[in-house]
Amino acid sequence: MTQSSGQNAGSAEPQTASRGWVTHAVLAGVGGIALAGMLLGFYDSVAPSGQPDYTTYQNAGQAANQTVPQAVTYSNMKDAGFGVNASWETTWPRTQDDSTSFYDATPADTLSREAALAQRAQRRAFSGAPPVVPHAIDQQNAASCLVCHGEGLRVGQVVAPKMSHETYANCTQCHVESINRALPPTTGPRAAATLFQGLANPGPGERAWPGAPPTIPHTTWMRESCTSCHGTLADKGLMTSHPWRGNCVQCHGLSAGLDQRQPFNNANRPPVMIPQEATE
Amino acid sequence: MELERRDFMKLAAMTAATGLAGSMASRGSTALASSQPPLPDRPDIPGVTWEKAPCRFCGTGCHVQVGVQDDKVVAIAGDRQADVNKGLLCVKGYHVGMILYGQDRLTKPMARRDGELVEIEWDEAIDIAAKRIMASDKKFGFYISGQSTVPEGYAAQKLMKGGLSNNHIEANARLCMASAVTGFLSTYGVDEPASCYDDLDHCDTLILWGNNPAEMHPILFSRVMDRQARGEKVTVIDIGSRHTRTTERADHFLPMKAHGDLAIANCIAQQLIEQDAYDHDFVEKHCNFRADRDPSAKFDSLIDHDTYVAYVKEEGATGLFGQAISFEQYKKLVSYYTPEKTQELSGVPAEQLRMLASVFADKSQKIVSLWCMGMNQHTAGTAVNNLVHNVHLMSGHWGKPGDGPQSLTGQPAACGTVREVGTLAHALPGGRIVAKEAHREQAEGFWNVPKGRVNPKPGYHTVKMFEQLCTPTDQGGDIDTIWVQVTNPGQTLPNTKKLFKAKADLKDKFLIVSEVYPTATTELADLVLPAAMWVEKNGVYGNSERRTQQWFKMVTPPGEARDDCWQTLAVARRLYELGHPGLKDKDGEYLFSIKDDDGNEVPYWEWEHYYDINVDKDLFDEYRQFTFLKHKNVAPYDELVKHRGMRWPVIETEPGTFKETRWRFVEGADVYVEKGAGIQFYHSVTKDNKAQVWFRPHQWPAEVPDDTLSLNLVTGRVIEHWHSGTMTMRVPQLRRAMPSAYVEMNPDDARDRGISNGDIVRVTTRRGELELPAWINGRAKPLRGNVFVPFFDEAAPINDLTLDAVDPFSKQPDYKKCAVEVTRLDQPSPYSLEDAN
Repeated sequence: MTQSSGQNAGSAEPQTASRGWVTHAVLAGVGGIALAGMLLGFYDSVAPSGQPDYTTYQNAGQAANQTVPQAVTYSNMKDAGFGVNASWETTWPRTQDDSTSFYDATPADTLSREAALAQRAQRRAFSGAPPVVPHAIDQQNAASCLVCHGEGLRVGQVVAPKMSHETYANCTQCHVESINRALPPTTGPRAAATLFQGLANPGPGERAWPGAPPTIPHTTWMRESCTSCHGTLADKGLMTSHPWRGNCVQCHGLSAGLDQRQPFNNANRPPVMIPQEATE
Repeated sequence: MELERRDFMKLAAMTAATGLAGSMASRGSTALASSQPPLPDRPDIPGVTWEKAPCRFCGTGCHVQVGVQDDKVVAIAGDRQADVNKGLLCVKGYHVGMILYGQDRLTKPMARRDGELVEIEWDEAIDIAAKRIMASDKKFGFYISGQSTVPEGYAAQKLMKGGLSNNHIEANARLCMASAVTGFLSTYGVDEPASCYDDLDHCDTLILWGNNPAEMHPILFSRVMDRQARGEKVTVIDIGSRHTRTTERADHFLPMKAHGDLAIANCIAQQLIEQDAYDHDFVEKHCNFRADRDPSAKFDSLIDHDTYVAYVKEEGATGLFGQAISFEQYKKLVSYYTPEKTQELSGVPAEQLRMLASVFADKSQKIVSLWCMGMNQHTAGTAVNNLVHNVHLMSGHWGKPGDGPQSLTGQPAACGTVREVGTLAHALPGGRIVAKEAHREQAEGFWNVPKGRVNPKPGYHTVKMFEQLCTPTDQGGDIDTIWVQVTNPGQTLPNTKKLFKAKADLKDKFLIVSEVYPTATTELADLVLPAAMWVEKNGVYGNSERRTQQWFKMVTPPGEARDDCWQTLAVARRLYELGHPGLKDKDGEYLFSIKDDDGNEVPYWEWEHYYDINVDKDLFDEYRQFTFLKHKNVAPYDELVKHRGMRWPVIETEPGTFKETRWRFVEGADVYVEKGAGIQFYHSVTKDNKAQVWFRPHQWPAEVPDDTLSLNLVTGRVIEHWHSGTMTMRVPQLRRAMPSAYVEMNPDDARDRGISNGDIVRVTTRRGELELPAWINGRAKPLRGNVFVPFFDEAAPINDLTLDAVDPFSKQPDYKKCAVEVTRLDQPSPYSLEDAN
């Protein structure tokens, strides 16, 4: 509304010199109102009620009453605590390949590794299952996932890990929200508890002798990008002690069995009739 | 020598590590260790063994690798050696192992006593079922499923048609793909797609007819989308009434009114003819023209569209196969569907219709059409299936890799069990029908039963069967017992109050339900039989591209749950013991007799002996004999064991060597095509190796919105849940992501009614009311005038509200069209139910 008044005023051509100052006064008035309106528009008079709930990020997939943090208005940003992410303002966004982070790499101890694996397990039905998404998603547009997860990003304490696999076009084919915030919870009459016990996280890889590089204990199928979980944005418990080395599989052995690569010589493919067109 | 030694070491290691010997024994002695495929050696997770199985959910037919530890499924991985999915799965597939472990699995047979289900022993349960069937073997209906395995379907089929001379056997696939069947039959003379998924790797244009594969067939959708992501050019054209996740990735969206598809397909044909862009050579060589009635029988000259419609209305159709018409008459009839006229009928702008026609006119393009429930759950489902085949035939976009129509199915064995084994009221295995004497005789021959055993009169189709169950006996309700296996009609039939829930008041009617969990169907069951599911039993499925897939039992079912196939065979044996004459073949032998190598009868009907042999293999290889007549040759069981499915016809090119077929009717790909023919429709309706191009006029849905109920109700699925949610709602990851049903509205329709996102609203049709949360701009956005409600939520049974009108040929109901109104709870109901009744 303020915009359109500004345009109308601007298009009013002064007809005579004697009416010029009137026009200027009107213009100044209208402009002032427009400016005030714009500034007021930035200010949302509704203050956030209480401290937002950040359990979503901490215990994704666990609590049934999870909520996503409310977006904070511009005016209240200065005072918003931002919980776990309080230091976001004083932190540069960091990407996966930010080499400045190479230097604070410290080897993980058992405790931090266990904590990281426990956190990881909360978002997966079993070791190897696609993780659920701990935040609200755009229901219709999977491409928006790639904005943060395409390359990986850390802002303050919050990390959007880089995809561990090559880019597939349809993210929501495999990854669903950990909790649907748009719909009420199930009211079905049936019990829904599960007795499923998923495959546990694999233990550490094997070392041929103390100090030897460990083998990779899990499949690398769909986890081709090691840095997604072990890179500089990773939880300390899973982070590599030597992030500056780029070629992981140079030293860490893969498992053909886990990756279903052996035998992968089409021996199990049924033979087919070959049409002429197909062979052209 | 070295190889052998390595194999031996591997086997020895695996045996030691996992007690393989025990699990091999459970498969039956006929499945030899050596016939197992050389699965990847995966010793890396101690105690976990991996085996192949097709996914339990939709008709795509992905293979999964099932990780088993301590007799429990603990992990799932996409199978990288599977051609269908190449290692990928969707979110349901990745969690498929969890469906076995819902806390409320049924583990003990139950009978209803004084209104309550009480636990009984298996022996008594089999006795109750057998005696009930014995007492009323002609009023008994068997209702199975597109999720029944091929051997389960074959056993039920043989029991009903070969044993009880009763044709009241149906499967829930009637509700999902019957119109695709009648479409294929009337166009090509034989059922099932001629094309295969390989086409998705080759097509330039993908046309989606009322289809949302991003959610319903995600693996196939991604197969195309990932090509785009790799830089290949694939144009996606989405014709639909909802802006979905699929639309989001489409290049063109053609917004269609209900039943607009009929006009759109006719318009493409009209444009091809008007612009002389149809494939003259293909049409001349491979096409005849057909319609419900041949007007030349009455009229001396060619008649126009409106005269034809009035003529057929007056005289009626002549049946599924119609009558031949001339190309000239076809041209004249279809000329009615100009882009402008079609815009009026379908809502799609004429400009977009011209664009669509120009795609078909372009010979250099390779075009795949995909469809599923949008075209099949349709009161003109057969017609619209014909029409989409038409446009591919007319334009010559047929029979080349990447170029052809592909109908998808929604269930893992809708093709394998229902279409191929023919577990429908009119059908016999291998594309035969009960109405044909020759077909009955062949079946009687394979089953070694006396001539005349197979009843020539088709039984009741699904809707009719349940209607008869729910009609009091003294008012002509002549179905008094139904046995339901592997499906949940209490939630998935249309108009469930009329077709299912009415049974509650009829005390003399009896419902037997084999199930894995309590459902809306077990609510009304008089006898509940706990069933083993998926990898708790041996099985064979058949997917949408003619691929037959086998798997072995991997884990023990919980409690006393037992295989559905065993249940059928145990009841059959009890009927034999009770003296039912139908359970003997013409030599007086037991109809389902299986002998071991020494010629002794195996008592597999006793559960403890069921896995002494591989009953699946025995039934499957018996069924296999039926498949040659219509050139649907399935591979022998032992061959299927080695592969991640094989697409029929599977040809034995030399003894022991079997090759699968990717494109039917195409020379070079299909051995049954004569040399030099190029394309040969060798099961042609007209016996001249030609396909039929049908004239099918536009018609309006069975129930259209009016002043009182001003919107159209579309029901369907979401990616997280499969059908009635019996399995997927018990997977926490899936249930949390999609916890409850909703009504999806166009924002403008919602605004007009004062409805905001999240409001609980009243959804009303002529059959009832339901309260649901409104979800606007959520998962998808329907066009104005449409609302969408998913049917997975048993707490919100939307099928209480849907219409039970069916296609005249396929008898498939339409779940996508009925009049509905959505109102705020503080507003009066738009429609008084008392007035309606």
